[in-house]
Amino acid sequence: MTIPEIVTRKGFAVTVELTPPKGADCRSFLQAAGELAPWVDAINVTDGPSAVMRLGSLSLCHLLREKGIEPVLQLACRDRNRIALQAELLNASVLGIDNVLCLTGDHVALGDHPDARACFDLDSVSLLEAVTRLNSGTDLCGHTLTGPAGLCPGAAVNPNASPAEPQLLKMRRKAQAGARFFQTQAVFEMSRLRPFVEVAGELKAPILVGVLVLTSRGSARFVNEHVSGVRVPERVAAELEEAADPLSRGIQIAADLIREARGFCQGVHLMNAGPKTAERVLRKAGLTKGNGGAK
Amino acid sequence: MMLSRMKSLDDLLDSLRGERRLLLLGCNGCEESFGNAEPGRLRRLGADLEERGRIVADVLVIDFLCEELLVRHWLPLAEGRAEFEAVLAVCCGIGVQVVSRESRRPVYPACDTVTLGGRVGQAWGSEACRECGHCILPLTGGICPLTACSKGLLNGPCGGSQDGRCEVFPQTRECGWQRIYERLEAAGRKDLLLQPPLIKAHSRSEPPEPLVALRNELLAKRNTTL
Repeated sequence: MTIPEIVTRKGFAVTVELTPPKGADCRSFLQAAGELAPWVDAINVTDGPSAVMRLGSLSLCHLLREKGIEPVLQLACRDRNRIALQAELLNASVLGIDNVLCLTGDHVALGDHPDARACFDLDSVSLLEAVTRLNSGTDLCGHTLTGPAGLCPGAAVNPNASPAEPQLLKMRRKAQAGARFFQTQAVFEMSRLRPFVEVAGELKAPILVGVLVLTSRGSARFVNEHVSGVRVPERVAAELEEAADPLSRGIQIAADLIREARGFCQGVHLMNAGPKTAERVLRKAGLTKGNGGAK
Repeated sequence: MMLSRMKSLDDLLDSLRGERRLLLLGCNGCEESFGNAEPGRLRRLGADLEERGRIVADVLVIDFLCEELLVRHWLPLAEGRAEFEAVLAVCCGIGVQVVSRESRRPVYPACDTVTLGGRVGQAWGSEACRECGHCILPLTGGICPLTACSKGLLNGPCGGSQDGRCEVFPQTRECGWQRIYERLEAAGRKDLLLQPPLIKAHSRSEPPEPLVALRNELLAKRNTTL
């Protein structure tokens, strides 16, 4: 089921991001996914996040689907040219995957293979265009396909960008290229999110706010130093550092953000949340078991 | 020797959109030897443009448009003696970007740069121009995103830059798209940030055979005289 369909059906969607293992043993990934499944509507499987080489997104999305879990394939432009990207999209379509989050991808300089050649033949906007064309039965060069793809393209936006306007313009450009839903980078200040929600409303595309769960005393500082595009405010970092139980404090912060977001966005996208943490966050946010708990 | 080819008149008019009064700016540096900016060619280009409804307010030729100091010195000459809305620069991608920095008016490339092929006036290397053969500077405020953005993104900023710095190399690089955004905002052309997706034609970065042959001939000559 596509993210917009989930939102239409339930009003508020819950997705969670899971990172593939670095290796061919994916048992713990699948176990975590199985435990998360009752609580969420879909699981995003990341594609080489932070430019670190890992097991790919597609095989895990396929395995999730086989278990009856709705996957969101994340596809980044960093590692493949337009031929490989279109082939991967067709692969996803053939395997019955509905949702694909189209990303540019982090630069190789940030990852564990800094000497790799970064591709960026396409970027997030032109990748969305590729999905749109494949869905209409042709490739990027206008050649006819034996059958169209059936993918629901989504895009990311970063409400933390400063200034916000270039991001808001790019968000419109992504919608023009075909984005039908948005998942945001992790947000800690809802005031930053509001203009993005307004634009999403105009574009008639649901927006799922990214909520990153801070799980330890030093995690805020780590995120500020190492995770691109996310900024934890000093106030939140201090709260964590002073807390007797930093994990519980981090869970409370995330739950409060979700409660606030429920008033004005169409869903939440959890990051850095294993099954136990995610369950605690969602319970505290007033969501119940049974796919995100939306009525 | 750098090599370039003139954009077609239709492509030029397409990129100039509403700009009517133009300064035709030629480069008298290495480009001269290739003929794009030689006086007869410039006159013909001017006449073609006027035939299609544009006004060539002035023609100025500067030695080495890739040289910031020369451009800074001579461009005000044209600005003082003629009224024009935009500059059409007959030069390589480096020259367009230098003139863009120095001009208050939008600057449009008349050529696609195919190769810089070694020494370019006083400027070396490809840090400003990737010699892609598919010049998109008219769409990006005269700043090349292929070189100014660490990822070479063509359709807008990634989400990672903070306070105008590049997320990949914050110590050493500005965010290229922040610069493009600021320049387009100042020019009242933010509409360019909402265009259909731009997809690079990499095949155009290969110099056509006659140009490759000519380059080889010129390089061979230089080797024998060195």
